[in-house]
Amino acid sequence: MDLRNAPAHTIRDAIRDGSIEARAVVESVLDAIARDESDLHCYLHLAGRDRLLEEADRVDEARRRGDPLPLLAGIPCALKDNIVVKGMPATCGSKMLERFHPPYTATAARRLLDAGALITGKTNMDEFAMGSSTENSAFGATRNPWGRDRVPGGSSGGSAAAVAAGEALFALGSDTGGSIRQPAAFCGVAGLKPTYGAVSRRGLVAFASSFDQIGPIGRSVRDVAMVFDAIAGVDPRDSTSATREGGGTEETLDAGVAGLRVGVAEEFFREGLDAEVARAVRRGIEALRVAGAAVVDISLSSSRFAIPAYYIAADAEASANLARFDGVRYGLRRGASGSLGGMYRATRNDGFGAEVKRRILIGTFALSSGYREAWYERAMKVRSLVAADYAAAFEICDIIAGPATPTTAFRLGEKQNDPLAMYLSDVYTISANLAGLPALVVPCGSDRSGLPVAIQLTGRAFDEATLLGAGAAVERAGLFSGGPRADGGEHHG
Amino acid sequence: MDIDKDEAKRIAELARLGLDDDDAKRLAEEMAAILECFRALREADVEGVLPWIAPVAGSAPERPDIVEKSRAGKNALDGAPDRAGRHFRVPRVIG
Repeated sequence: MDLRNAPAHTIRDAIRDGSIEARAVVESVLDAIARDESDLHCYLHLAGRDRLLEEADRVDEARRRGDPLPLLAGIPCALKDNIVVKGMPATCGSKMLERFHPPYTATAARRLLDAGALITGKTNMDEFAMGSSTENSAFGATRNPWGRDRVPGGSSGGSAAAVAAGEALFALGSDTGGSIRQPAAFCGVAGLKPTYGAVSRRGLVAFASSFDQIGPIGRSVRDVAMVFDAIAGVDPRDSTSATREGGGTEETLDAGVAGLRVGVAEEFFREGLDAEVARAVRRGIEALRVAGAAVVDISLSSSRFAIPAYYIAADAEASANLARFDGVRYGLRRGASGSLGGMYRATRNDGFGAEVKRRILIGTFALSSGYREAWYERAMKVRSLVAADYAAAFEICDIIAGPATPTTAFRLGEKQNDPLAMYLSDVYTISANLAGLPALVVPCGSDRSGLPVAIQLTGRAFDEATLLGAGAAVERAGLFSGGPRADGGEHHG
Repeated sequence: MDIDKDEAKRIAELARLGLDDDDAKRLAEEMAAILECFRALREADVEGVLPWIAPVAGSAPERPDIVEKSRAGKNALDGAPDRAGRHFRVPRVIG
């Protein structure tokens, strides 16, 4: 088996039937880390090599004894650094939490550990998940394995790049406005933002609580389904987690798309969409049609307000959530020799980077007296309009297909000093967050430089099964193949 | 959208961020540009529209009010930058 490129679900099956040892799987991932990590910088923290190998040996011994193995036994995975695991740091890509060690483990991480997965480490991210390139990390950017002069996307850029480079077999990210899907698209891997409430947020450091969702990034749609099934479901410790059992999506993955109605909104194919991306996405839609789906026209006209509505509402929530970082209970402390107020200000000034400060200020402004009605409340009403558009569309279709990103991966530094240009790279992903809907990205082609292009599929609330089934159908069409170039060649297309 | 240096400083004070003059000037310009772009929100017809609430997460779930063992005393203080016994220590508030 080609361990470097095999999807996690085939490795899972091979470990379970004894045709491969967990130790060999872990060694393969450790080799990829040794080879590429110093250049790619996917991780902010790596688990100890010896400990991972010991854990793998325990899996192999259990199998040899004939003990039943949990579903993800011996599968090495990476977690975004805003998902807390006891015994590992959780910096959120911020100086504010540089030395923070969480006292508990996130529910999603706990479920992976209970399923036997091995955590290779914590991945790089834009500070507090605010960004679309991972360049806002206080600890340096991650490079895209497909072109090392390119960003991996963000904010879960470390997770997506690690999966693409074989430095983990799958990863968890978090998605507030596209932070799983955009980096998955840029790195040629699959990524799912589950329905709001489908996966517990307990132990996910809050950015915008009514948007944030943890979700999987994998080498294949089946990998994503497998991980979603493992982490989904109600959690009494997250009152926003939905009171229903999750999962079961892998079982129905091959059901096919015959009779499925696929909605396409022409609004998403207009100005601002790169022509090569548009062509590849249309080929993905055509693949669904050939597989038996019916393509229908829909309209999502309120999506033109999605970017301002998202940034106002999410920044407002962020300004409240990030108020907790004040130097009192954990994390950085500065200016303690002066007044309490002075300590708050000095701590936050030194601890937060430029983009986080911008967003806190925008959010504070939008909630402040005299502006709240015109900005925050209006944004929340527009959010209702976006959700109503989706509800109307789902009267005549079962899933919606369109682009995931306006372009393929852009160059490192290209948008770093232009926050508005960076925000526009989320234009196709944020609507699903505004409406709380599940959305999946699946690679569906490449541009002429060889950089991956992805199709985005959006579904009804809690209908991840249909979404993943359609994603698997796109994948079966074989529009995208190969792995990142081992030479890490520069792309100049 | 008019955001000047003083307005940026006022908002920063609400957010417990201390900005010097250079930072305030730069952030005021950035905020003004961002908010100018976001003015498009004004064009949305929201007459009679209610603000969004998460309808997909189920209605606010209840659970039995059972006393559980708290970890607060044990390791909530582990990450404290400064502590005194079982308390977080901060600069003196009352002189």
